Order: sequence, then C-alpha cells, then structure tokens
Amino acid sequence: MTLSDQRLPAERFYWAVLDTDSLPRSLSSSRRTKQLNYLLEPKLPVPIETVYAVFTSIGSSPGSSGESTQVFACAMTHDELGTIKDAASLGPADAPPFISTDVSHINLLTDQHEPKNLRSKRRKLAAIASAAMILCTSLIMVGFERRVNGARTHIQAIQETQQNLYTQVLPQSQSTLPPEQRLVAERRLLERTRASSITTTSSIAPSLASLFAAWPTDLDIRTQSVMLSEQGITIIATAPNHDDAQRLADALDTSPLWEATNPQINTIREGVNVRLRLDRIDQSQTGSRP
Amino acid sequence: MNPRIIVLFTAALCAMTITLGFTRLRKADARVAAATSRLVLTQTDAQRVLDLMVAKATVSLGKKPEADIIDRISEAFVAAGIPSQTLGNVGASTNTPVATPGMPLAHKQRVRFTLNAITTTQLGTFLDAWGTTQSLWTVTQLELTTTARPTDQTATYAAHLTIEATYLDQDSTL
Repeated sequence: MTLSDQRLPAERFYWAVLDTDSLPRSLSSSRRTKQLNYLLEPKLPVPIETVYAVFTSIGSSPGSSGESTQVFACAMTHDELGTIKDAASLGPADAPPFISTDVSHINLLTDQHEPKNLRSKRRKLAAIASAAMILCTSLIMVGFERRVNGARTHIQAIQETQQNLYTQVLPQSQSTLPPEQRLVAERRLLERTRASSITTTSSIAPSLASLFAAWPTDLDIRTQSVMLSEQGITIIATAPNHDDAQRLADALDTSPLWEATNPQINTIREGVNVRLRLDRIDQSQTGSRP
Repeated sequence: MNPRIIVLFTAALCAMTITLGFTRLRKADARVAAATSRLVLTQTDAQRVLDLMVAKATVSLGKKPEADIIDRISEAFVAAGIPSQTLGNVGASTNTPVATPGMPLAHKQRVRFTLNAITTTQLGTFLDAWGTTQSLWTVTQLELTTTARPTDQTATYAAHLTIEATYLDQDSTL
C-alpha cells in the first residue's frame, strides 16, 4: 500500500509563537523539546500531555535584548493523530495569518506517531545496512586472516631454507652457539686462514726457475753452492777462466727478478773461483730495469 | 533502540575490527620482511664460506707438529715421484711472532730439512709438487751444494730447504 503525504487546513492544528530568550543555548535536542513544551503549555487550551507538537525556528525578533530566536509550534492531539491512517506524513496545508514562515515541511507523524510501515521499513534498512557492514567486514577479515596465514607459511619456508643452508655449510659441531653465530664464526675463521695480508713470505721457486732458465749451458761451470733466499741469490762456482766467469755473471744479470753485483773472481789452480751475488729487485718499485 | 544508533554502533564495531585485522596483517608482513632479510644475510655468509672453503688455506690454526711436516714432505715426494730415501735431516721448528695491523697476532714457524743426492730436475719437480700440494708452507730458502759430479751422470746436490708457515693461536677464532 502506498502511503501519501496528507495536508490539512491550518484550523485543524494548534499554533503558538514562543519566545525562547529564557532557554539556555546549549541544550540537547530532547531537553530543548521538553523546555519548548513547557513554554507551549500555557498557550494551549488543552493539557500539554494530550497533544504532540513540533517546533520550527522563525528567526530573530528585533527590539529584544540581543539576538533572540522565536519558535512557532504546530500541534495536534494524540487522539486525532491516532486516527490518521495511510499517511506517510501529516502537516498543515497553510499557515495561520500570524505566521509568515513556510510550513510545508512540517510533519507531525514522527516519533511515537511515525507510521508503522515507515518505522518497519527504516528498521529493515538499518538491519540490512548492519548486515551488509558485518558481511563486508567478515570478508575483509577472512582476507586478512588468509594473508596472515600466508605470511606464517612463508616465514616457515624461510626458516627451513635457512636451516638447510646451515646444515650444508657448517661442519658438525658440539658447540651450543646458535647456527647464525656459528656461521659468522666459521666465516671469520676461514677469512683469517685465507688472509693473504697476514702471510708475507714469498717462495724461492720462481727465482730458482729463473736462475735455471738464465744459466748458460755452453759454459763449463762447476757450482760449489747456490744459496737462494727472499733477499737474493749467492753462487759460488769454479770457471775455467776469467772470461767464462764474466759470461756467467752477464748471463745471470739479464733476469728481471734480481740485479747482479760485481762478481768476485779469484784465480786458483783449476781456473777461477767466482762468487756472484744477485740481489732481489723490489717488484713494487716503479720504472723498468736499465 | 533507534535504528540509527544500531547502524552507527555496527559501523564503529566493523571499523575497529578492520583496524585490528589490518594491524595484525602489517605485523605479519613486517615479520616476513625481517625473516627475508635474515635469510639474505645467511645466504651471503654461506656463499662466502663456500667460496673460502674452496680457496687454499694460507694460514693455519695452531702450530704444526714435526710429524705433520714429515708427512707433508712425503706427500710431495709421492707427487714428484722422488724416492723417500732422498729425505735427510729434518730440523726442529722455530717460531717468531708476526704483528699485522688490524689482524690478530700470528706466528711464523720455520723448519729446515735436507734432500740428499738430488738432481736439479728432481729438485724442480719437488718444488713444483710442493707449491701445488702445500699451500700452508712456503719454501723461503734453498741452499744447493754439489755432492757428486760423475762424468757420465747428471750432477747431484744436497738441497737444504727452509720452509715457513704462518699460524694463528687456537683461540683466535673470532
């Protein structure tokens, strides 16, 4: 059934203009209504309890102390309101002569006089809205919960991967340290034992190889001793003559790894004794060997 | 009860629930991020350890006993195809501290041993095998003295070698 808006002549209503100067400004809606009913009561020909009134502000009244707001009341008895059927709203069709405000918005079918259909419809809408909000919230929470579970599963997978890494990399140990700390300790230990900055020794093998490569094979040189160290090479040998001794010195002086000093050559019965000293060249020095 | 109040109350409850759920989700995401970053660090460290394990150790942990040194010499003999009787005396090891800025205190261990009646070819093969198999010990000094020079054979020498190794104390692990 379709409800319609009912408009009745102004004479069917009780009207009053109320001066609200005496009312405090900050009042709740229900308290203000109660106060306005108190102001209306002396103006009604019937007890205030028998009528239902709605109040509308009609602006300030000049000549009063400061700004004041006048309110007009439009009322009807409860009994008469109870006889109104099939109406969505009820109000005056026009205003009495002493009220110049537009009254078309007034509706007395509110609160306890609200039509049952409308009230029921409003409650249904409220229920539907609440249910929709609850449903949406539930769906959102299900989504959140799934993502939280996904995160939990992801973390478990990460921890398993981490554990596998520890198992692969770390040696068996009775240590009570957590695997993360053991891994860091293992890394530091390996870095220290592979640190070339600690070891400063250099092998003589390249020097020996270079010496053998430079040794002249066409000379009859008999070595008594060859001494190789990080600092250089000392050779004590016997050559048939002075020229061969010098040729030996010249041949060995061609290596880029060392620099020959003047050989000490002594004549002996079998030929000459040659003592040759080759000093290691510092490879960090710039420039090439002359 | 006023339906409007019911709707507002429901809306407030839903907003609070969603806020709590969102907060929980953000915390879970933060835990995932932290776990992922820990995993990345672990993977970096693990790869570094694997790379270092492949590299040869140049510094040992703790001083090496003489018996270990004799084993190493024998190992190099086998690799070079030199008979073990070539090994002569093996001297006692000496130790000297080595300080490197920013690194723990290290020690140099030196050992001197003799190879008897060895040709230059055998010596070269031995030094090559030593360099390949013994990354901890470096031959730092060599003295060759002629022992025999037969006219129809290659000359042989007595080779006195000094080897050095660097080691850290056992408690220098961290």
